[in-house]
Amino acid sequence: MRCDNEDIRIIKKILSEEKLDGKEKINELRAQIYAELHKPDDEMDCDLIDENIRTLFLLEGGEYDDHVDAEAGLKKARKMAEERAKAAQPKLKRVMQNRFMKPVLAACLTLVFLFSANAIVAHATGNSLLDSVVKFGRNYISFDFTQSNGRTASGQETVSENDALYQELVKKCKEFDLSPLLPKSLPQDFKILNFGQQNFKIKKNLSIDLGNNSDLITINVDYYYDRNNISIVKAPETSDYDKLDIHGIDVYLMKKSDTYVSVFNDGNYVYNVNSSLPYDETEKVLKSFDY
Amino acid sequence: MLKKMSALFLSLLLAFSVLSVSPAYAASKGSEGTPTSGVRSADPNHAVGQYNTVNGGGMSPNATGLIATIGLDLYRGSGNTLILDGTTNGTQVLNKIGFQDISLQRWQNGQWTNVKVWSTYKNDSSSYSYEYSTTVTPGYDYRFVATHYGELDWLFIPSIETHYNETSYLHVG
Repeated sequence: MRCDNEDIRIIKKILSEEKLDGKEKINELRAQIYAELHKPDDEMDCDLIDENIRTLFLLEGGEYDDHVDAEAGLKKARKMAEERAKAAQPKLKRVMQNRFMKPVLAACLTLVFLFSANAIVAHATGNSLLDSVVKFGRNYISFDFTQSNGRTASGQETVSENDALYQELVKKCKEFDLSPLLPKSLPQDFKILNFGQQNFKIKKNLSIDLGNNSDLITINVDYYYDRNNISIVKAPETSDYDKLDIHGIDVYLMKKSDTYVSVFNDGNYVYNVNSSLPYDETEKVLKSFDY
Repeated sequence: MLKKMSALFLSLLLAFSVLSVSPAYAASKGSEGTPTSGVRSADPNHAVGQYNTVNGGGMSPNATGLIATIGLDLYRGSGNTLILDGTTNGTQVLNKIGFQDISLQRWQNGQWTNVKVWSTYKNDSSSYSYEYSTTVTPGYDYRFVATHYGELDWLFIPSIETHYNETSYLHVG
């Protein structure tokens, strides 16, 4: 389409009347073209686009002759606009438009739901769903998905005299001028996982964690400078406890969830000992406490 | 006559002295009156937590089973110093263990008033022993209250167990 006198007259009028900077006008016209290209096909004003392109050519000093393929130019501009729009899209939106996303999302949501349900059941009842035994029809088939918490790591270790660990504990306590009762019997693969000591105005405190990959014994010992501050150990107010004897000292033992909790004092130190070992092994450990 | 006047004057002087001392003495015993809530400590220097289980007593099993035993004790230090001795023992290594909203309380105007409130925690530990000492204004009854706290994080659902505790109160004056 060639520019005719009418076109030139209009351009001159725009430039003289609006007194705009040519560059501003060029940007304005381009913005209009891009705005139209972003619209759906049935709303796009192709005549406006064509007119703006003609005006741009004129303003930029070019000629808008017949040999200029306006339609091809439009397609190219439209493709560029689409690419720019796609690049400007948030990354997440682009990812979500991928056709494999739906099945992957469904799988992830299913796993999250299963783990959440297991956590809720474990929280409420203390038993994990994965501990279940599955039965099929007449022929009884059982699956035990998890190892019981009570078993020691290898499943075969039993509590026996662990002199090396005992001596190590004695030595560490002596560094802080402390000599409490300590367990002489422990599983052979147990190690000191944590040994902490604090000095307070009222007392000295020892915090010891012993264990392996699956079992744990925690020992919390307080040494009060004033023996009058040591409270007498009392029997729990519930009937769900056992009473043991360590060198004539009453030890109260109770189960809380998967842990055996015990308290006792020997007149010098106050002990709180917790164990995830089975009952008989916990009892053996407690009875082995010695100076 | 002079003797009688002197005797009367001395009597009045003595009576006035006695009267002026009595209110001061009453003030030193707590002009706020006896607290109407809480338990008075039998030992003036050591107030024991009412729900302590570090020495057995109120130990009980519960479903969550994160906290094994708790202890909260208040001691009189030298002068007007109060010392808090707190213990929270977990049944295992917990992601977060400690004390939520420890409050030093004073009996004032017919109620327990918080003098100071704070929280303290330890991460990834099986127990937390905590001591705090402060100097207080004499002439009041004091106690500590706190919530023992234990948290274990598993996937997106944290398991939390709390136990309220309060010491009996003792007088600082």
